[in-house]
Amino acid sequence: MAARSLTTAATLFTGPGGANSATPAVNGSATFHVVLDGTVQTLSTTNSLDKDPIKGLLFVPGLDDNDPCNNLTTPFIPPNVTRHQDVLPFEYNTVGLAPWISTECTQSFLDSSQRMEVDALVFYIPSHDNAKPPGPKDSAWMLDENEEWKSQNSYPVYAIPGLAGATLMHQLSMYSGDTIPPDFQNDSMSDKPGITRLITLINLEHGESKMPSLWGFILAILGTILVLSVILLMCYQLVQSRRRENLRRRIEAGEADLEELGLHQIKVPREIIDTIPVYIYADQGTLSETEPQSRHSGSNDGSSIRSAETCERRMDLDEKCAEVKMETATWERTGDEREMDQESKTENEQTEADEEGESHADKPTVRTTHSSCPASPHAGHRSRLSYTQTMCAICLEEYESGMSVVRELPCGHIFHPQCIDTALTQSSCLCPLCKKSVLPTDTYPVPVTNRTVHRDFMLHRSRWSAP
Amino acid sequence: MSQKRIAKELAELVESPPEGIKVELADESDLYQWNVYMEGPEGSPFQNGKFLVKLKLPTEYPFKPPAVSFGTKIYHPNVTNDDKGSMCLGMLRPDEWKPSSKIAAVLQFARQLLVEPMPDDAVEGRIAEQYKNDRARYDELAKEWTRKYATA
Repeated sequence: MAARSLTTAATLFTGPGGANSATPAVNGSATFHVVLDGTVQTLSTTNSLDKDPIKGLLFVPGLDDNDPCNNLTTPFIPPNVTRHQDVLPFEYNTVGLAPWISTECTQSFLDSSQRMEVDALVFYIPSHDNAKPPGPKDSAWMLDENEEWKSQNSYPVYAIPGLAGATLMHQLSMYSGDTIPPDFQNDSMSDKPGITRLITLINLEHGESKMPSLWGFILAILGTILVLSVILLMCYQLVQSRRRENLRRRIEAGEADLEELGLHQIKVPREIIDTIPVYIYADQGTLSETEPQSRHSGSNDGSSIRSAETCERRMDLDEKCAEVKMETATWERTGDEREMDQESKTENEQTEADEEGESHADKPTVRTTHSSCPASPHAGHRSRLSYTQTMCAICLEEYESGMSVVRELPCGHIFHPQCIDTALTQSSCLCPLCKKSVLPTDTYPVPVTNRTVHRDFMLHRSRWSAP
Repeated sequence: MSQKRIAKELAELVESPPEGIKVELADESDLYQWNVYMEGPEGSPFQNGKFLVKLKLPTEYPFKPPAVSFGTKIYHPNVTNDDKGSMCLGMLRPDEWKPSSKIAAVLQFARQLLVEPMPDDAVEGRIAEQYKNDRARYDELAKEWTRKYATA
């Protein structure tokens, strides 16, 4: 901690050991009192406790008898100055004061202060000005190459202006002995027996040094960044949640392409599968009750009509996904077809076998085209549509009329329940034939994630950028 | 269910094989391993070659896609140039596979790939580059490999 100010005052001690209760208070205007504020330079901060001011009796550390510095410092140190033995009896903290005149003598003072276990040492370069001494890095304070002296000693070192140092030195010579100094002779306190010494208080900077302020600055920046990130994150979450909501709405409305979004891998829960209707397959022959008349009327015509129909139907084969108009034509034909079914089912099967591979043989083709067109709007049409499928696309088995149980997906395609249920629960929620989702439009069991939103966004972008 | 369907598909393929494709079981007792002999399509550098294609069906078939690999070395962007000879077909990817797809379609698709490779979906990047930038050299090498490995 750097020193902020240094206050020195004469204090009256009533006796040895009584210093503990003494304060460096000013005992009247006549007593010596000097404050150095802002002109104290900190040379080393070793063991200077944070925030606690250093308080101690001021004295001049003595040197060895044979030290040449004794002679060299004679001009600066009066002979009767306060020495270590003068402050020792008070068992109080001590602060040393010494002139900085040469490298050797400074070293001597440092060593002797170390021996005397001072709490601080104050140097001054003898001069006649009162300016603040140069900073700790200045060449004036060079003792050794690595400035080891600053860390070697167990006490902090300060420097004060030359004039102030000389003044203190002079005062030290007056407050050294056991006699009452002249200032106190007319004082009211002079009747009391006691000894006066100079006590020094070094006030330290209260955590206002440059480094903490730098840390504070960094902390402030970090804090700002943190707050900004949190805000950004929250904004992002908000935007994303709105996008998810939006996409979910589009999915529920059936506007989004599930396959492109990678959502078709969704497995269908059992309870949704259970809502998909299951019934016993019946081929068109058993539909007779719906349009019995047409069936009877056509029964006389025999094979000539049949062949004509086959021809016609084959032409239809090519007209994939024909216009809606065709529906009426188809319906006219159904009656005749049924009649044909009844008369020779075997022949019909033969035709289907010829169509091999095309899962919808000639007869169903006309209507299957409707199923692959955007769903037929009429429920009646749709239910019949299923009868045109004669084979389960999963196991490739033919349905047996009145025997096979089939499940009809919302798109109108039928499969054996055991086949389609496995497909729906294990691989995908899309119809194996037309890839339309079997999930009800208003429910969507899988949450829309940010990734889905991103994928949707990329899809849109690529669509926009496409010519 | 898978066995029944596979048997049915096999019977169909044996009875009326698609052009240039002949199928048989690798082992009579194992329905799930097929050997397919594919003739190099006319007009492609693989013409006159006869390629062994191994088809491996999963027990979950048709809910899981079959795996197609070449037993004969072939110079093609979509077939790995190692002893596995794996073929990359879009329709065989687990997320694109439909249970209603049939083996006949897979094999026809694979054969069509010999005529028209898909360099953007390649497993052999170097061959794909060559196919796109230096078709003559590609044709030459593909022909050479066909002569070397696919004509017995």
